[in-house]
Amino acid sequence: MYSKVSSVVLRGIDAEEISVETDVAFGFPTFSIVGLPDTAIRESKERVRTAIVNSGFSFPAMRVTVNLSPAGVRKEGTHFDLPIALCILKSSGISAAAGIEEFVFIGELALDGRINRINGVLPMISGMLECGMKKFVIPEGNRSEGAMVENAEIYCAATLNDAVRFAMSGVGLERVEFCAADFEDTDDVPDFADVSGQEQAKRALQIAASAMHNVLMTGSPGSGKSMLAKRMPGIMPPLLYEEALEVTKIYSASGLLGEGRPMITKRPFRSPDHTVTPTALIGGGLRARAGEVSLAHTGVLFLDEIAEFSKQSREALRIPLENEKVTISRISGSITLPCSFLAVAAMNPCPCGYLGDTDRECTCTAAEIHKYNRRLSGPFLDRIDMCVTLTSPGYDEIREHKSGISTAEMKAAVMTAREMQTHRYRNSSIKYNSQMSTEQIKEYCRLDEAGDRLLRRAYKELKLSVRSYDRILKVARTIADMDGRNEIATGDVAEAVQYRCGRDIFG
Amino acid sequence: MSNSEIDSRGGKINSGSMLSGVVEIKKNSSSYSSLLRETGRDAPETLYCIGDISLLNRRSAAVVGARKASQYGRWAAFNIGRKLAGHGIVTVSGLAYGCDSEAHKGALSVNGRTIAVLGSGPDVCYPKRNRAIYDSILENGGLIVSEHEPGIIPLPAYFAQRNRIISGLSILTVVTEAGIASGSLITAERAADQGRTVMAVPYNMSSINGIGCNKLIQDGAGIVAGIADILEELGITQHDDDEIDLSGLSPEEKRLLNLVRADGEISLNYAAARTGRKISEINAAAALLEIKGFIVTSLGKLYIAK
Repeated sequence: MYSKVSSVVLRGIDAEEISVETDVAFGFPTFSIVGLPDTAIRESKERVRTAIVNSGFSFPAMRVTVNLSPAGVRKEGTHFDLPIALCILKSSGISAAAGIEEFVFIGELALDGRINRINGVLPMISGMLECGMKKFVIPEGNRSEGAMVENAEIYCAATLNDAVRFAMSGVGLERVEFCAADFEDTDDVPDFADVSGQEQAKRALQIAASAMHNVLMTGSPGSGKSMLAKRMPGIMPPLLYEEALEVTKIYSASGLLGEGRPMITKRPFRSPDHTVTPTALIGGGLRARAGEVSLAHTGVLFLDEIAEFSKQSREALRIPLENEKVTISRISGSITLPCSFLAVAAMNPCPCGYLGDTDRECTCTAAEIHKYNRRLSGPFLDRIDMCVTLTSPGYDEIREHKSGISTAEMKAAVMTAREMQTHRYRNSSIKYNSQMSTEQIKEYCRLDEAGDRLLRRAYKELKLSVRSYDRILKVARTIADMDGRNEIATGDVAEAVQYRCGRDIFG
Repeated sequence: MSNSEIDSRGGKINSGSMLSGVVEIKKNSSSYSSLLRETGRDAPETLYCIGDISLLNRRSAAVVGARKASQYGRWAAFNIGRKLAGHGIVTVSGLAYGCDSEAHKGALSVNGRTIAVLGSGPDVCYPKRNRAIYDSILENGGLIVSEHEPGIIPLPAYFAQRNRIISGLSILTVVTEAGIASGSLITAERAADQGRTVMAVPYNMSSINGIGCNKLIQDGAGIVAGIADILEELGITQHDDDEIDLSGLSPEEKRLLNLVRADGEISLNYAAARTGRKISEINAAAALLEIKGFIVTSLGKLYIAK
């Protein structure tokens, strides 16, 4: 007898509907699964057979054929156990309740009939919602993940028995209530007030956070580069629901969610080590996993010791920085993941790290320093809007200074700037000043006569490049936005000049 | 190390055909620098020159210092080179990175004439990155000098040897920055052996970059308390050519400039703390001062440019 149940397959963070079809027929008892299953699905035969028996049902001693359709799509994951088991029971005579074909079943079976938690439930559900499927049965262990999705009818099943009872009667499982996550809570992000001094760098990071300007910090070891970068998520606006959903989908598909962390509610902060491979950074591998750039989506990607990254890794960053998405091509097809992040790069001023330090002597030669700084040339630096140098803490410590500006104080201006940008770009495809094209710079970064004269003079005297000219305008736009002003003042331009890139660190 | 050995290691990269513009001057020629000839065994038999060889017998002063120079050392070299050129003195240096480059650049900034003594053949620009300075020296009627034949590529030992020519060509030698084991100290030592005046720019006790200079002063070198001291040593009275015009500056900018002047170098963070102004205002004022040429920023600190 033939029967059918719906399930889903994940490709990156996109979902595709899969029909699980079963036919149980007279003949020599066999159990075969067809339709491009991967090893995990082929092994599900044993789990399904044992779980069915241990749940008190009998496994049909007949010819059992399971097809995963469309048969041409490669399928992976253990979550087909539940739909396969239900389908087999349906085929062997269990009467299903009306309307059960509208449900998508997701779940991995344990040998005793329990349903185990799986990865990727969130992108599966939200992908199916887009396809018009609204009803789901998911593992009990994924309950909190399911609770994040609005406008879906989701039920959680703890055992195969529960699921079968539900499939037969349409009742018996509790519906998951939608529960909005708290996006405001950033308590565990450290506060900028902990960093004494370095007001110049803090200001740079504040501007960067206001319009997602990528920023490069240069400074001796111990000057506080990592300390400052770690505090970045705290001054960024809370995640929007849509953003959180998108990030959580990536984390869910990568298996980085747990029962204790069903949803990503804070902007991610990722800091890959400098030994990271291009694949780990961008994404890829046999099963096409998300890379650090995608895991940092909507948040901060901190590239500490950027000069020590391999050339391949640095080059690989170009496309994600440019396109804000990555496409990973594999033999089974290609997947596209979003990666709109704020890059905070940090490096030492020279190979030994102590050039310009007041306490330690730099042991590098002039040529070594030149070569070191040249590592960051060209395409990567082109995507960096702002550069800032941190002075060694000892330098400022010996002179008294006030206690530092706090995260809360810094965030206020960021929020003002974000509002200004939301309003300005409401009819545009971009969201932040850092994304402006040359035409948009012309339209939105008009300078008054004094500002224009200043920038022209800076261009000549400080030997700016055309690119850095545009970047200064973008940053000046942001500085004015932080103050809630539509006009860019001369002072804004002057301050933006101070954060220009491409300064010869050692001439 | 014998000369033949050097030749075999250094080698020649071209011979004869591409030597246009290179002039050979023998020790007994009247064009040969008389100051250098006086040094006796320090004077090479032949000088290979490109440019205006009359500079060999003009009044000249050597300005040398560390390659990996601090902003202060570079400031000093640039301004000494500029001031000397402004008073018709030829600046002699070694075309190396850092202080040497700045000394040449300072002289060139007022279209002054300057001599670069190379550790390679006169037609081989080393370091390559200083090509622009090399070309500019010749364009401004300067001179490139070497004891090596055209085409010789440099060896480490050549640089220490050429220092005796730098000091030998000059009435006095100024060291703008030297660490404890700096090559500039070799130049100073040779200058002293040659009976020439040595002067050094003083540094903070705490400055690692400047210990060599302070030691030179301790050992009897003249102290450069102001650039005018060098001119005085050369017997020239300074004409006030560059009174700094502060009229175009806002009160904010003047305040910051005075702060930088007081300390010589300050960080932006310190400037904000001292003035009690917002960091954004300090940023803007610093950028304006930099555009106007009063200060330079390097490694997060502000330095005086004029």
